[in-house]
Amino acid sequence: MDKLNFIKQLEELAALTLEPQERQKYADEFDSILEFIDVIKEADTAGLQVQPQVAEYKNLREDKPQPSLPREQLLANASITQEDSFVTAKVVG
Amino acid sequence: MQGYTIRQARALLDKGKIGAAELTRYYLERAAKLSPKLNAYITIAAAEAEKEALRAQAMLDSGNQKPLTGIPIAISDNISTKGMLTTCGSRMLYNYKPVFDATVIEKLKEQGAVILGKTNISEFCLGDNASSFFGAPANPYNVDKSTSSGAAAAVCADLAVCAISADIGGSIVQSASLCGVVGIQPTYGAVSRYGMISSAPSLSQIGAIAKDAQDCVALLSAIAGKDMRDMTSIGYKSDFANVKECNLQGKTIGIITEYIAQASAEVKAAIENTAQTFKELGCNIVQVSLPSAKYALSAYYIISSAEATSSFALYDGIRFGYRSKEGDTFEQNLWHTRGEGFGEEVKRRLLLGVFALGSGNYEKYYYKAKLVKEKLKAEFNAIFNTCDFLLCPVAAEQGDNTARSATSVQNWQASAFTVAQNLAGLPCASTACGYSKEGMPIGAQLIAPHFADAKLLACATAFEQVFASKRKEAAV
Repeated sequence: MDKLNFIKQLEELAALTLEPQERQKYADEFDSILEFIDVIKEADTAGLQVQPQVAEYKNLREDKPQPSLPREQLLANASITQEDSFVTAKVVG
Repeated sequence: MQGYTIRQARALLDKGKIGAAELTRYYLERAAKLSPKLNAYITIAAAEAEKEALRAQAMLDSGNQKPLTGIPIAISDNISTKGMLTTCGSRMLYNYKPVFDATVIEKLKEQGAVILGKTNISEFCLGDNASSFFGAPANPYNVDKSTSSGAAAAVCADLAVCAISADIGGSIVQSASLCGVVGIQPTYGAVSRYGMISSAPSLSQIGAIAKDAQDCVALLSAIAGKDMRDMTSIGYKSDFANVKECNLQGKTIGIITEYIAQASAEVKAAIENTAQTFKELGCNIVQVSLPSAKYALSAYYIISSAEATSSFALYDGIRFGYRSKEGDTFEQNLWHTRGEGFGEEVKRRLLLGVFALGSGNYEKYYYKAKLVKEKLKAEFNAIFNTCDFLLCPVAAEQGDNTARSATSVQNWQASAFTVAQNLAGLPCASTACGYSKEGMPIGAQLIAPHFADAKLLACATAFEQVFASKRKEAAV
């Protein structure tokens, strides 16, 4: 796979559309980024295990319903609303 | 009038020598006058601040003041403030006004602190200093040079008494160091991140920037504590009340040799002078090694980028923020929104993130990076068996952070001495310890074991008291 197609595949995974000149820039620099992160392969991590976060799953609140935020507040930041709802572009054809 | 520390402002307010409204107006006027030059604030919330000042004055008049009542504070623009623009330095959130306050904001408001506005940051705290959609903040020591956070610039130039800031890879200590002020990144979990708009939750922390370490004590005392809305928050008792006792006799300070070896001659000399000062304060100075330091940057960029791919899934242009006019279908519109709304560095990190998490790469990169994180924690723990604190530079080249390097990878090297502490969740602080030949501040970075935040600030205070006579003020 050539580099531009490789970046295009990453774009899709990242849910992005890049301009052609941006795609070219990222394609040109990706080898140096790969070289940068490949350093980690040299680390000797034998015998180590990934530990969970310090307080993970120990700090949960009681499972009780809480009051919701008012609908108008939640809609206030949306760029397009209609009939008290968010508006998306067409999802199905 | 001049810029005050929290303690100076507190004394004046409590004695009635200045009113909360007058103090607030002073900082608002300075911010309005100088922020365009420094680009320190993205939003100056004058009307809200004046209202909060009146509320603070009422608390003062009734004798119900708290440590931060009436103190004008700046807030980093990735911390949610109800009804106040919170952009994260990104086009993606250029018009976003949160519908709730972050826990730290609630705590500040309970104290009667006055929020002056929101300070400039690199986009989502991910990029270098030039990545903010609103342009880079300038360094008050030399406005032709930039710094990575408007919060540090604002405190340095007296556009706020102090600031609450947030970082994921050392932005607090880096920007504090560049601007000659004090920044502390507390122990991971010490301060609730509820309401912080984070790109990498396993690394991100909220901390404080102030004129000195004692002011950082006041800020951390106010904002630290367990919060049920952040399940990583920990309710530990840090002994902030005793920070004024700064006896360092018999303490051991380790100098991290890997970082010193990479520092410029000027930075190395400043750190050696700092070590000498600690020696004169009664400390034992020893050399220590952090062998996995060389893997920290790679681990940090892999983990933070991978987490960003998940954290940023909510930016779809539908519920809030920027929305592209392009694309006829949901998917096309989503992709255009993110392509147009995110800046260059964020997109680079998203591409890296999906690569590191991809099939065949997860074990090689992401999981390996998590293992390196554990290795670093173990190495720090071993060092702290014999050391009370660690000392090292904040950056190899201090004071000149303006010229962007030719490649992204070269820019990433700027965080080489700070990311390991984020990976290990350790408290660290920067305090000015010298000046470059161009007059730019050089920061000394102090690192402490988990939960020793108060001792860390006591250590910084002891050094500050000796260094006070050598301090140079900023040009702005």
